[in-house]
Amino acid sequence: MVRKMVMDEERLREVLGLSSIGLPEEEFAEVLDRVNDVLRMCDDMQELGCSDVRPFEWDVRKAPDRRSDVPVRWGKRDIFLDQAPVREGDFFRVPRIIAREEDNSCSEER
Amino acid sequence: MDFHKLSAKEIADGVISRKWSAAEVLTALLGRIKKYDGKIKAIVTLCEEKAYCDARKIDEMVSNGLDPGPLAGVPFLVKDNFCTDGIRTTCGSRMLYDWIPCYDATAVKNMKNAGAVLMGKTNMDEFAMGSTTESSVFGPTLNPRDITRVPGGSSGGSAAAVAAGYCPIALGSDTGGSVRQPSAFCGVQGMKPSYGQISRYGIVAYASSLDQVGAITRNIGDMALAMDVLAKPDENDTTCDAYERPSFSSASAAENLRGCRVGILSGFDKDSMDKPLIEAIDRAADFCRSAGAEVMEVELPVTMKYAVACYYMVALGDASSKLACYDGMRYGLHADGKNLAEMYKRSRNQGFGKEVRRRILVGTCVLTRGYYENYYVPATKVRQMIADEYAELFSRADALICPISPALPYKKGLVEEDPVRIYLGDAFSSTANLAGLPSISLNVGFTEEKLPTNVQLIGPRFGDHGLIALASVLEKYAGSPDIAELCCEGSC
Repeated sequence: MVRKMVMDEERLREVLGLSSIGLPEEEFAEVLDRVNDVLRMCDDMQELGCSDVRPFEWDVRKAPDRRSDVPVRWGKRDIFLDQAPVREGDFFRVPRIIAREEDNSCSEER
Repeated sequence: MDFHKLSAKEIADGVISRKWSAAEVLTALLGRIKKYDGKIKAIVTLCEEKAYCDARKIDEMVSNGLDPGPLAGVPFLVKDNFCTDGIRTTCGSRMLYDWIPCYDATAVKNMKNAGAVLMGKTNMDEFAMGSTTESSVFGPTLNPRDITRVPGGSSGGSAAAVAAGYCPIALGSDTGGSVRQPSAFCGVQGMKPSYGQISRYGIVAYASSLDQVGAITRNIGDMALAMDVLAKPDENDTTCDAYERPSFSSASAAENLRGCRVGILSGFDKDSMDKPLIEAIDRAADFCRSAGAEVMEVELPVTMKYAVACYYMVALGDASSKLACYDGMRYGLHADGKNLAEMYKRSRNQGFGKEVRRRILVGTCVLTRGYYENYYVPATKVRQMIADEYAELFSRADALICPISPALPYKKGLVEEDPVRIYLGDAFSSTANLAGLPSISLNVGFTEEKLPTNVQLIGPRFGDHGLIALASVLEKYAGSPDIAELCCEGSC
């Protein structure tokens, strides 16, 4: 059965929350249009009767050998630490994660 | 000596026979980059010091009678989504603007082990999401064949670099045409091998079931040489097949196409295509006949109608989950927020550009209830139907010739005006990724305005050597493309 779907404002706000992306209100209508343009482009695919078709999977000619299951010491501790967004001595500094989730709005706050 | 005009094989032969040194070649090509790239902007990072160090090591090996490998002293560039030890890897994004990996991608390691010298990193569409190389945080790259046009994308920097004569080989990644379409726009040769042919270890993923590493060169001989070096099993990538590869260089020595059956794609809307690209297909078909091949018209009705939709559903669904790791917590750009959700949102908003955010939104949407059943699941089934349609075609034909892009290189700025039109430009190229097939973008000439006209060759899965043989014979008729005439020095 063909079920063409259109994204509405409420659903877009939900998706913005799920993808952890904010959007300024002035861009909201434009992005909604663009997302619906892409969904429209994909609607035709539903016309194909593919209920009996199996989902795609790769065939392998020869499976590669697995790595030995042993820990590898890279000896690059400082290099890893330097990649942290915020480093504090020998630690990654991470934000406090126990906080009240008061703001679930999708509006952009830079 | 005009080193920038030499092929990779000629450079390596000269280094090994001590006709010239690897350091001399490097100096010449770095000089060319500095002279011209102020305008073209194909390069985002140069690693001169490391490159000279590697080049001197190659010269020392040669002096000591050791064999540095088939790419001895050949300078190369890689797209900025390949991890490079000690050299920043940005993916063209503010998110990874100063991220420096501590290991080389397997493809980069294999090139270096074969004696090639890494000069630097090339510009790309942010996180490989685009077809124009305009969405990079470093700004757009221009097409060296015509600076009013885009170089294609997302590996536009690599294709522009090879066309401009900065290096004979550059590497890119191809998720839906990102090596082959920019090769077509810049008038060079580009290959996306079969899925599983080259290790993806160390490539920042866009969509893992579609991504594949590919080389961009100015001739098929160099392409085959690069494939011999790159196509190897890798214990770090379980999707990289362990079968024993044939010699691709031997395949590139093919003389004719006797006994070969070549399908020419028909049944698509030719009126919506730029006419010189239809003429290019006719020219390639004539070359096939002249070389002794049997040529027949073939159709791929399901593939041609549904590939773009299927591709975007699979790729964007995959991308939305891959890019979830950029949360501002472990690496990449971090922005403070008053709680965790706000910190994620601010980091991602400031780190990702507009097109990436747009694609993440669509990808997240198709993985949510309702949309998943109506869009994503059908796409995985349509993908199987496309693979089956190709398998049936390759029971009757050895290769397919079709367009790579419906349009000649776009004028700058089109992507913001009409993104869906740009998406539809992937109709021909994305099919090979969906079915995991090898595909080559081959230059068969130029228009009167000196714009390149490439065609796409597609072969059966793991038939990469046969496809290289076909491309090599066709190149004998078409000639390999010259370096672009650059008239713009520095930042003029």
